[in-house]
Amino acid sequence: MLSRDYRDIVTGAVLTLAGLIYAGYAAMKYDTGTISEMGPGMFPLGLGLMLAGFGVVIALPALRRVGEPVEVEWRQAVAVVASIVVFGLLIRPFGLVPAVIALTLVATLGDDKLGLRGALLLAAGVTAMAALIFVVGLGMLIPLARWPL
Amino acid sequence: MMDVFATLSGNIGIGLATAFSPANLLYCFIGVFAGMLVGVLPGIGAVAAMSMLFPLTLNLAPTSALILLAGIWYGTAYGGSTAAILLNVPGSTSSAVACLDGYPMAKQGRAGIALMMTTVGSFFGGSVGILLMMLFSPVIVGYAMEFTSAEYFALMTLGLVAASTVAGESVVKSLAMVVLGIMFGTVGIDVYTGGERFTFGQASLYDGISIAALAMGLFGVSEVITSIRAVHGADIRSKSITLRSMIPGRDDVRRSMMPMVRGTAIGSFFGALPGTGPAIAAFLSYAVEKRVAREPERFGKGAIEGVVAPETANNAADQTAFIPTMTLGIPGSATMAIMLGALMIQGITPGPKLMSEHPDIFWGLVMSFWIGNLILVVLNIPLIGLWVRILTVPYQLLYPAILMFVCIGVYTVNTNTFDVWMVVLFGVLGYAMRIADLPAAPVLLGFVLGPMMEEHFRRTMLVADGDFLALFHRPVSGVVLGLTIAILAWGLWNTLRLHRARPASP
Repeated sequence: MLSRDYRDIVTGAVLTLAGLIYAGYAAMKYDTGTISEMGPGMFPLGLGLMLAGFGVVIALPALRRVGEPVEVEWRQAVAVVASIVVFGLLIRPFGLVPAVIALTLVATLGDDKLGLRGALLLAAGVTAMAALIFVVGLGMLIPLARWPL
Repeated sequence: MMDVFATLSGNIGIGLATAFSPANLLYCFIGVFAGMLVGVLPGIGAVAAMSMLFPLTLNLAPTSALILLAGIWYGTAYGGSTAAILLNVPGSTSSAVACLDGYPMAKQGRAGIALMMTTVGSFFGGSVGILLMMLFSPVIVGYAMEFTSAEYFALMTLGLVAASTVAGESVVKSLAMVVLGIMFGTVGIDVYTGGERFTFGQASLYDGISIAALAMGLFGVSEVITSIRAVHGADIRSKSITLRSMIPGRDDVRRSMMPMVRGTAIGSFFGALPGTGPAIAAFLSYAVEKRVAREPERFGKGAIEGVVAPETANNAADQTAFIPTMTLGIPGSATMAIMLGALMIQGITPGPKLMSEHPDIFWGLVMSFWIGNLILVVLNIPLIGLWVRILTVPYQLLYPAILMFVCIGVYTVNTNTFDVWMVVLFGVLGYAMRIADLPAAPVLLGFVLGPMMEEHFRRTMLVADGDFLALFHRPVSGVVLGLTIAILAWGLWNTLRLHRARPASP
């Protein structure tokens, strides 16, 4: 138990900030116009202010109530996100096979049930599946592998 | 009256011709099969599965794309009940309630009967849902032809408010997420002035944020992250289920009749109502059965009514959910938002004109529902062995493959790495939202409805010269907005009550 519901306090604060930034950007960059003839900025301005308002409503009651500590699964989250990033970096210059192998290997770091051998076998299997489904089966024009130098 | 039937039969003809084309039959099969699989597997919801396959549908004809995605949606209800009954694992939220009495039945050795009766009930509920869609859609479209922007704005507001108020725990959080979704929807070119908004000079953003990247990041990626530790390969000891064990006794049939009828009624109603849907329909119909039962103490210990009614209800709701989506262009749930997104990305504007301008799409889809439900009835029972085996595949082998599908799928939409970075962005956001206990479905709803709402709002204000009360002047929009305000007030009051129940800090 925490003395305050910090999760909702932070959530509300972040939403309020995001809403204000969005509304401010809209009001400064785009023409707001009038209510009867709205410019491109009017609707976003209203949305941003609404989000900011909701943020306040979420945060305020949380100040007076106890909260539970939040649990973040860092390892899983980092592995999964990193695997997608690695795919994005490799797919264009190197092609499908290296990108999917790297994606699978990085993704398996999120869980320690597979050893290195298992991870390599899984990478081979997933890559074969990707090539068969997308390139052979659906005929998508992605190069399987290439060397950009 | 004769005219009505003449047009209806003509339309059914168009629909059958479309649905029975070999390609569409194949996509229908793939869709329901994938749906059953997703329903069985815990950790991948229908939304995540549909958003994963969404990029693949871009190369298909619009009707085929819808048939495939719709098949996943209603297929999950069949698969979900199988996992719930056999393993006490709710594969999908709408099947969670089937665990209550389904699993006890399985422990008593009556799994076969439970599976058979839920399959029959699902088919019955689904069929009535399809019939209602066929009969009511033209009627609704008839009214909708008279609608102005005010009515559309009012109906969309009702949909969004109902979706955030009825399903979620915290109304304020859901509403905030709706607004966030609408904000994501403003990225791109402004329809009125042609000027860019929030694109930060990125040419890839001129057409707006890709719905595939948004949905896959928010639902797919964040679901994978949380499932890695939570989902374990199921420990299965269930013996093979023989055909003989599935034959229900006379008592089972008698007990199931009325629950099926009541489940269908509840499911059809809540399916068509924007913002509710199959999960709520299933829970409500369980509650109703317990209420009307002569011996309510049997519930939770293997009462067949408690399995059949909710499973019937969720299938009826799965079908009627298409009514507002297809006739008005107003999706009531995140899954329907994806269906709508699939249509819009194909250049087809959903709304009352859809039925007259694209009768093949509408009626082809409806007729494919019959085919899909029949396929499900035929496949559900024989495939049980396969599902049981698939459930034993450990998750650490599954999730890298899921991520591969997400990545290649989103990359091939435009052969553009930009969309991959968007998935990363929305994946991180989606996981952060889970930690913050913010619901993701309203974001998707707001994202799809936002641009339409803005357009209708601006047009209404233009016509009414900036008078907000003009929204209340027309009877339909006035009543709908009144209803919206009432639902909102009720939801806020409920939240307040909930918060008061929690202990305050000392």
